[in-house]
Parts: sequence; structure tokens; C-alpha cells
Amino acid sequence: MPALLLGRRACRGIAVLTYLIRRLLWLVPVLGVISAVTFFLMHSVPGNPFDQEDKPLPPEVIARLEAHYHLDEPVWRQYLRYMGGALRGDLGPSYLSKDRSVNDIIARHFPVSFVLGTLSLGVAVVIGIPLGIVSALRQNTVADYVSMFMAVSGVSVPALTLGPLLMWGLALQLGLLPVARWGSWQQAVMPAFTLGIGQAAILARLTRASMLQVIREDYVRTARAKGVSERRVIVHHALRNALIPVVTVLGPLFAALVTGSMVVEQIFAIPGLGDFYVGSVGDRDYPVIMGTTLLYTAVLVIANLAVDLAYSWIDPRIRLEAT
Amino acid sequence: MTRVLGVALALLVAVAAGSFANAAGESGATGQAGISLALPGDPGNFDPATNWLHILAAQQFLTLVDWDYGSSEPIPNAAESWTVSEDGRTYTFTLRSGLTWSDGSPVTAADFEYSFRTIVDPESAAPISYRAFVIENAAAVNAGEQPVSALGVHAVDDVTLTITLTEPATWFLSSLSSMGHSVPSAAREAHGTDWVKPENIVVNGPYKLVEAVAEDRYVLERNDSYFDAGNVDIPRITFFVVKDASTQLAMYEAGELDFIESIPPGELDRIRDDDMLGPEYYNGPRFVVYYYFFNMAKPPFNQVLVRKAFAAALDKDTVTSRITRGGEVPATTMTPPGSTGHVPNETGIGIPYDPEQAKAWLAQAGYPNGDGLPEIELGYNASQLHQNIAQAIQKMWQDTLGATVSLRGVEGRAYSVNAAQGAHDVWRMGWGMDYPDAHNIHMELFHSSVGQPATFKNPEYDRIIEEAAVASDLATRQQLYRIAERILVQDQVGVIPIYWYADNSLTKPHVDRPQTPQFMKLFKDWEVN
Repeated sequence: MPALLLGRRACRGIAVLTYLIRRLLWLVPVLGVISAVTFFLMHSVPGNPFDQEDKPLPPEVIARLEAHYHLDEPVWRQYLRYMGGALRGDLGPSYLSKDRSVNDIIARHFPVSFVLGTLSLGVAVVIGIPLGIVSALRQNTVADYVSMFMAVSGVSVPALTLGPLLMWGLALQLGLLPVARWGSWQQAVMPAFTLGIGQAAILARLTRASMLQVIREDYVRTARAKGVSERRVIVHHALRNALIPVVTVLGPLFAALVTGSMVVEQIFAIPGLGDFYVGSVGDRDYPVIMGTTLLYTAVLVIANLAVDLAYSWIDPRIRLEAT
Repeated sequence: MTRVLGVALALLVAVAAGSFANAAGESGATGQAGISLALPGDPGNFDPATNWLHILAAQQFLTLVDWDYGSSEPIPNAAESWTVSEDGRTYTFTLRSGLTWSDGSPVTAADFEYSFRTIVDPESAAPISYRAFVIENAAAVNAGEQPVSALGVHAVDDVTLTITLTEPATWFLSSLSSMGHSVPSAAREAHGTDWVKPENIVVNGPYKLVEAVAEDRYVLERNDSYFDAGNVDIPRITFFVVKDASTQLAMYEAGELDFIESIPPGELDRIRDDDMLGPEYYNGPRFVVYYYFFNMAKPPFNQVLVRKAFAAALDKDTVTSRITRGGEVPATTMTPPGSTGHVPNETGIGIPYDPEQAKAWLAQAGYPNGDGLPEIELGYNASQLHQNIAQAIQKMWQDTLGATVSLRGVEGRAYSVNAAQGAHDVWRMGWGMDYPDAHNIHMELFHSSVGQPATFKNPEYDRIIEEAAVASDLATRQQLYRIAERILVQDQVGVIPIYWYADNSLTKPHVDRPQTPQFMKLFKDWEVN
């Protein structure tokens, strides 16, 4: 019997591993398509990386700079040149910061955004899901109204407003936290909340809706009829199933949060990756645009893969092979 | 699953510790030996031989000459003296004796020769290369048609440097205050673009980079090998990268910064009225002009009377007092105050706000009350400020002239392309001076040899600014630039100057800084009480 159990576990392990490898291999064509679309799109937008906004350079100087960076070649050839480097792990130089490669920029700034994004996701989950559960279980009570009021407020107040508000209250008026920058846990508190609160509100509303649906299911009624404790009914039967749509959202949410938020990072002077996504497009810093886009794609694919794995853990009826 | 979560948490803690450790630095130097400032963006590579001059570079590398903004005269820096040949084309500089790099090696004329060659070397791919094109063979070297050794910059011996120009240029010394910074050839050749990193950098200016954390902070310390180190008061300057102006102000109010010069316009009234912040507030001129170009290649702005009418219908006082509200100065001419060749508003040159005259000119042009006037497209690079200004001007032109004006905000780099192609009827531009001389504006923006065909071109104007470029007498130059401005902004109305930008800053009381306008702030002149 133990040998048979071991065999089943081993089979399941192999199935998961096969599934993982297959999904990760899919990353290659996905990155290929995304890279091609991004590359040709960004080159179709007018403008060059060398002009100062108010000071266009002489045309002959721009022509020489374009030749230096091979920007005078046909776009398809530039793409092949870029992909040749990318396949060797070289994402190219930043045109604007000549001593920094895109690899260096990602290596230096992605960990900062990753930590901030994960903390804010923690804020979102810890606040949003309990709020949604309480709201659903106490539907149409004061607790429900208060929770949903908080959720709507969280969605309605953008980071651009919440960040300076927290800064004014907690740092300038009360002196409890440093105003900005990155380097200690105290400096992470306000940005993590600013970024996480809006997401918490989304999760709260989603959890509430999902929970309301699940607690009306027959199996929940059956569990209650059999005398299972309310706590066990909610935690083991209702919540587990109610979390499926929430977990679905968590994948893309995680990818969006950990790859950086331009607004929050700018407000709190955090050296993350967020600003590079928007700034590189404005600056036509092509290698940085490509590098950050490919990074975002990879994180998104991996986050969705994690979500699919989580499905089978939450609900064993969902088989990985089928997804 | 619990094990997986545990591992993920441990990983997060490790990454967090790493990112915190990497970014951790002092959170403000107030009260410490030094000052803390804000940079509105990461400097990237600040090698002054290949990039636009950055404030970090200006503190670390010597130019041949400096500039006295009071007397509008060049003053010695690395060069203690200089002479100009009779034909005005060859400058001979004599360097101070005993100049050294921070690694102990001597600063020689060969270092300056190397620096100028680097600027124009096509291998450098330096966007600033065009600024050196006045030097003999520079354009040909940059085009790859001649070797760098053909450049008209030669080290005669260790302390003597000659620079030969393509033509006489009275403004050349002024331009040297912001170009041709000496860079260390040995460090540069040994480390490539990494030579500007703290572990590799070698300097000869008042300060030296000791710490650099990209997108976070840059720390300069006094360079004891600087020739005048004894008179440099502030031992340490920490620049924090803080892109948001509101955050800069909050950090300043919390005592985490000692000086800021990016103040949100909406906060200026509060600052001026505040008992504590008011005395720390400074407002002065900056070397930047805000102006509108006309597309003169097609109706209606191919008629000078129409251009005059639109200029006279633009109330610049309203723009600066109701919209920008940062102490900007309405401008009737182009060259900003403080520059050689500036023509003050008081001279009467330019077109003042006069709605009745504007209507009369438009009627004379054949568009009484705007009848028959085609729709005007006003372009600007998309930003809230430019949009607000454009909306105000749109209303002025509609109310006064009966013109139908449509606004078109275009994203920055795409806008540069539009502007270069004359894609709008009227479009917004700004010009920050590269050096404080009217030549920089007139020759690089409005001479017939530059710009695109739809903009102002005038042979008489060309002749006058060419004459001003070589005139050796300051009074003569001033007079010539008056005539040039009159043609440009009054007789032909090639552009409408709108305002000169203002320097709005806050400085903590324990910091003494020069209150005169400066092209680039030099902290060697600052003191801490």
C-alpha cells in the first residue's frame, strides 16, 4: 500500500513537472510575439531618443547618432540585431544613460519594485479578503455597509491623491514616518499602503460577490444541516471555493504590482522600475522599452502559471492537465 | 503549501534586505557637515565630453574660463590668462601652474586637447558635438571626413593651448564657460563609460563623486587637490533623486533637504505668505525663454500684418500673472536678462499688448474682425502648463481677433518632429541658453542656415547677427542685437516671445548662496553657517 501511495505521489509530481515545463516552454513563443509587436510598434512612433524636448539637434548630428546606434538600418534588421543580443542575455545599452545596460537597470531596480509590489499585494490581501468575507457574511448590515464604503473609497481615491495625503498626515504633521525615499521598513509603509489600498478595495468587492454566491450553494447548506460548525463551513467549504475568482485576479495583479508603479515610486522617490516603463517610451529609449516589456511579459506568464497551480491546490477537482 | 509560503516569505525578506541595503543612505544632511539637495531626475552618464552639461559634472571638471555674470566678462578658471590673435580666430590659453587631477597627476594642455577631440570624435556619439563646430575642422571630424588630430585644438606645451576657429567669434569665450570641461584621458581610456563611477573617477574641480546609487543619490565631497580648495566651504553635498516637485517640497519642509528649486506653482502663494518659508524663498531670472513660432510658409501667417496682429493680441502679463504665477517676466524680445545682447523690454522693442492695434492690423491684412481667416492650429508639447497657456491664448485670439483657434497637444518627442516639420500654424517652443550670449539664440534658432523652411528667414537679419558674432566691442554688439531683435520680433514678427522663465527656490537659513542669476549653480561659491 505505501508503495502504491508513493507511486501516485510520484505520478502527480511528474504530471505537475510536465505541466510546468510545457507552460514555461510556451513562454518562448509568447516572448517572441510580444517582442516583435513591441519592437515594430515603438519604431513606428515618430521621434528619436536624442532630441532635447525644446532643442532639436541639427539634422546631421541626429543622422550620425542614428548611424552610431544602427537606427538608420531597416527595422527588421534592427530587430534581428536586438534579438541576437537578447538571446545571449544582452538586452542592450540605455541610449540615455550610456554607462548603464538594460540588464543593469533591471537588476538594480526590479528588486525594489518587487519588494514594494509584494508588500502592497500583502496589504491588499490582508485587508481586502477579510473585508469581503465580513461584508458577505453580514450582508445588508452596518458591517457590510461600512466595509463596502471603505472599498468604494479605496477604489475612488487614486494613489496620486492618497500618497501626498498620507505624506502630509503621517510624515509632515505627525512626524511618524520619513517623507520619502527607500532604505528602511519605515520608508516602505506609506508607499505599500498607497499602492495596496486600491487593490484591497477591488479584492474586497470581488471576495464579497463570490462569497455571497458560494454561501447559497447546496453543499454549504448540506454542511450546515449536518451540524458542521459555522467556522468550518466558512473556512473549509465556502471560502475555499469563493477564492477561485479572487486568485484569478491575483495573478495579473501581482505582475502589475511587482514590476513597478510609476506614480507611487515618483511620489515617494523610490528607485524602482516603474518610471522606466513610462519614461523610456517618452524618451524613445528603445532597448529599455523592450527590456521592461519583456520582463513584464515574463512575470505575467509566470504569475498566471502560479495561479493555475493554485487552482488545483484550492480545488483538487481542477486538474492541471486539463488547464 | 505552508513550506512553499515559508520559502517565498524568506525570499522576500532577503530581497527586501538587499534592496534596502542598496538604497540606504543618510536621510538628509541638515545638521551634518554638508548640505542635501534634490535632483529632478537621474543624471545617467554625466561625462561632460559626451553629454549635455549636468550639475554634477559642473562641480567636478574645470573649464578653461568661467563667467562673471555681473560684468559679462570671462574670468580665469583653469586658464589664468589668454590672448586672441589679430584676426580673431586663434585663442591661446595659458594654464595655471600646479593644477593637478585628484589622482595626483598634473593637469596639462593635452588634457584639454583630448577633451575637445572627444566631443567631436564620431566614436563618442556626443549630442553636444555641434556646439564645437565653430572650431576649425570640427564639423569635418565629426562627420568622419578628417581624423580627430585635424581639430583646431592643440597643446603647444604643458601649459599652453591654442584653439583655432573657423571664423572670428566674440561669443566663444562665453561658450567655454559651459563647454570643453577637461576630462581625464587615462581614466577615460582605462574604464570606458564606467570612468564616471566613484571607484574610477578622477577630477580636477572643487568636488569629487564619492558615492553613486542610480535613481537614488549621488554624493560629492570637497576635492582637496582643487587649486582653490581652501575657499570651498561646504565639504559634502548629497543629491537625492526626487522627481516629484511636491515630494521635494515636503522633504524640504521636513528638514530632509536644504535647497530645492522645483516648487509646484500651486504652492508659491502659500510659500510667499508663510512666516518661515517666505524669507527662505528666492525668485530670480533664468536663462530660458518661452515663445511661439509662426508657420510663415502658408496663409495667413505668410502676411506680416497678420503676425503682428496675433502678437499684439497676446496679453503676456495675463499669462504670467494668472497662469504661470511663478515670477516669470513677460518678454517682448528673445534673449533672456543676464545674457550679453539682452534687449530689455524698456527699450520699447517688440510688440506690446494692444487689442485695438491688433484688430486694425488684421483688418489691413484683409481679415476684418477675423472674417475669412482660416482656422489656426496651435501646437504645443503636451503638458498641463503648456495647455493652460495655449487655452488662455486661444481665448485672447478668439475674443480680440475673431480667430478660430484649435489646440493640438502632442507628446514630447513626436512634437519635436512636428516642430521640425512645421506641422502647425503656430507652435510653442522654449530655449534654455547653452551660454549667456545672444549669439546662442539668434544664430542657432533664427539664422537662415538653420531650422526648417517654414520659419523666419531674413537676409538683413542674417547679416546683422553675423556681424555681431565677430564684433569685438561690447557696445557695438549690444547695438547690433537691438537691430536684430527689432527685425525678428517687431518688424517681421518671426516669433512671439512670451516670457522669460524664473528661478524659484527655497534655501535653508544656514546656507548662504549667491543671489545673482547663474547659468549653472557652482557650490564652491556657497557657504554653510
